[in-house]
Amino acid sequence: MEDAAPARAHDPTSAGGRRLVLATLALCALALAGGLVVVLSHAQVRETGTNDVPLSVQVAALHGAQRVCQDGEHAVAETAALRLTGSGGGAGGGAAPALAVELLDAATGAPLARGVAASWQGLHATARLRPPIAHERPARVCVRLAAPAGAGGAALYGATAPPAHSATADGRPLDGRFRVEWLGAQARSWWSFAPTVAARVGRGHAFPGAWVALAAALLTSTSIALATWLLVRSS
Amino acid sequence: MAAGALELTRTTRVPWRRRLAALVRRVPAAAWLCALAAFLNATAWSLITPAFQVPDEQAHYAYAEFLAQHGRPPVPRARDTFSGSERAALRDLKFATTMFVPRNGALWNPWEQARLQRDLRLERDRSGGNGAGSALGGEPPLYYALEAIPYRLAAGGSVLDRLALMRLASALMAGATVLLVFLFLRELLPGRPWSWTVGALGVAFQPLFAFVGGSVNSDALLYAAAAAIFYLLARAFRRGLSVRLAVALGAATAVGLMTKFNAMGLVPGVTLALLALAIRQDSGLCLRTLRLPALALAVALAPALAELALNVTVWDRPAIGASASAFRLGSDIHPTLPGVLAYAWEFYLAPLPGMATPLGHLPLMDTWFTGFVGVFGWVETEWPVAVYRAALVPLAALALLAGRALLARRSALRARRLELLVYAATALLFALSVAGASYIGHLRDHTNNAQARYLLPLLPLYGALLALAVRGAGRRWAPLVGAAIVALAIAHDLFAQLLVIARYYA
Repeated sequence: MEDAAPARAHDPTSAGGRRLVLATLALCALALAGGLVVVLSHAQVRETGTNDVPLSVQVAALHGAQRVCQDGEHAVAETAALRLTGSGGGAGGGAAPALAVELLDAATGAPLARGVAASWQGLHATARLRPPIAHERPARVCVRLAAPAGAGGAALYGATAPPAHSATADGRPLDGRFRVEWLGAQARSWWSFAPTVAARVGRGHAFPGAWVALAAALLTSTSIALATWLLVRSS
Repeated sequence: MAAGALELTRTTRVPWRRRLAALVRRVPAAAWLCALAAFLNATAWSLITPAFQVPDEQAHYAYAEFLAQHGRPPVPRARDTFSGSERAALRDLKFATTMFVPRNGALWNPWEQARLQRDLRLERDRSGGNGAGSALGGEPPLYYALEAIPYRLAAGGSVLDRLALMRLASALMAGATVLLVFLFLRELLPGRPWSWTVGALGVAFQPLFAFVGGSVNSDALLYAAAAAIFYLLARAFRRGLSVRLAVALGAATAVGLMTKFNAMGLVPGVTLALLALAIRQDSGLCLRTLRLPALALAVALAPALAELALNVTVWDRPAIGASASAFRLGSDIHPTLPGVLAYAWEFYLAPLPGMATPLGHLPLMDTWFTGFVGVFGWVETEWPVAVYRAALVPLAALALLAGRALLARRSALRARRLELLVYAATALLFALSVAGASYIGHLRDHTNNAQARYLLPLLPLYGALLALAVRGAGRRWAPLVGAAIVALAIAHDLFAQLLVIARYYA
């Protein structure tokens, strides 16, 4: 595989070769920038938090006027909606029932917000909260069928948990906890979401802060700049 | 007399320093810069990836902590236990609920961060725990001994301070790996310097490599050791096997063997290469021919034998650590050679009619290619399937170009067929050893250990594929193809970082 010709003879060391390298890199940079703009401009409603409960089992089956509640939740600041995972329609296969969601202050039991998840999107039922949550606070989440009479049942999914930490159905402990996802008010692109992401990247580090995200971006940019410079220079 | 002794020390030291400086100067600047790019990239990954969200990072940290605290490696145990400070960090970082659950993010809320900082301040225990005795108790100690240095440097800080510095040490190893890949390509393909840069940068921005390089994981040192082995083999094939090269090859193999059990899979290939080199050099096989291979293997095995002796006499560990690992042989399982070969076939390719399907219907695509393109976190952070399918296009193009390069240089290829056969055999035997280890796990408890990172010690060959593709493009299009390869590698790495950011932080 060795070339008999001098080492540099076949390398793109000519001015033409270097121009071609530069042109290719410029085109690729444009394509990459375009791809990044497309990806980062994609807007969607972002999560403000979850209760970290995985989805492994059905935790609760809602019927009639039954009320399922779960303590130990943290209502997250800047939350405007709450998303539950489960299945609507119940055993009868009827129309997916609307769910009424209530958020109570964990300490006082005072209502913090209410909402109705009128429809299901696949396995998700999303209730817009009134009023939105402005500040983080410990909370209790309660769910029931919005129209108990005539509607089919619904199931909530989550994971098994010890009775002391489980959700309850009319005060009776269930086998586990259901998953709760807190959502922001409106769809946001990655650009507008970037400060939140930077703050999150900065947590769980030796020196927490948004600087961690900036440092990571700087390191990646430097390595890319170095590679590009090296490629052009060695051509 | 003291002054005389000092003078003597100085005079013996200076040549060493000069020799080292000369050695460093002999490495092309481009190689150092490729290594620097890899180090910076791996460091970026170390900041992006949440603490302990890399396979087994909690166990690797625990081993290093145990070694730093107790001055000895841990003993194999039935289950892993961690120090109080690590347990507190794992709990507050939501380790258990985040791993394997792509819909659960890292720490999103200020109160979670506040709890973490408070608990890290309160919990001081570092000596408790058994150093991940179950997961890693029998593993050799070299990587952890090196990681004990940054651990000690951050002794006054918290678990996260120590982890950050330890990750930085791994990133340095990633840089060393890329440096050695560059040097390997320089020996392998001496005719075209530009292709070395392309190959090394392609490796530097390979996202799975950078992800592992930015974590506390003994794979980081194993990759460097494997790259050193490939470099030294290429050097020996090009310049002949000398005593120095034999010692260096033995040392590189020893580093691998003292780093991770998986390095055992490189030993048959190295042995084969040494024999091939010696026989070629002596134009035949006689007792004298075995002198340099024996020297290299002696150097390779000496530290392992020393560890064996320490295991038995001082550390109260099983003589051979692997005999206490999950991949140990024993009377409870009955592996057979046809069984290993059939399993290896299924492990990498696709099950033949009548075979069981422990790894699905097309492991080559579903596990190995997908994993190489990128599956992050605890092997649960993936792109949509379409991305992996699309990645087949550039890979096929690279393979075609590399094939074209080989075809165009058939005569040169024939002259170097022994060398190429040795690389192929080394790769094959290593891959077989990975499959063999998984086969034992499969026999014992029906588990499969198929992760693309286990094959990354073969990264130098990936670098060679990239460099060959540049050659295959021909003189006219080489600049375009080379630049496109590096640009694609950078884009791949960048989008992989975004994937991980989206998974953990949004």
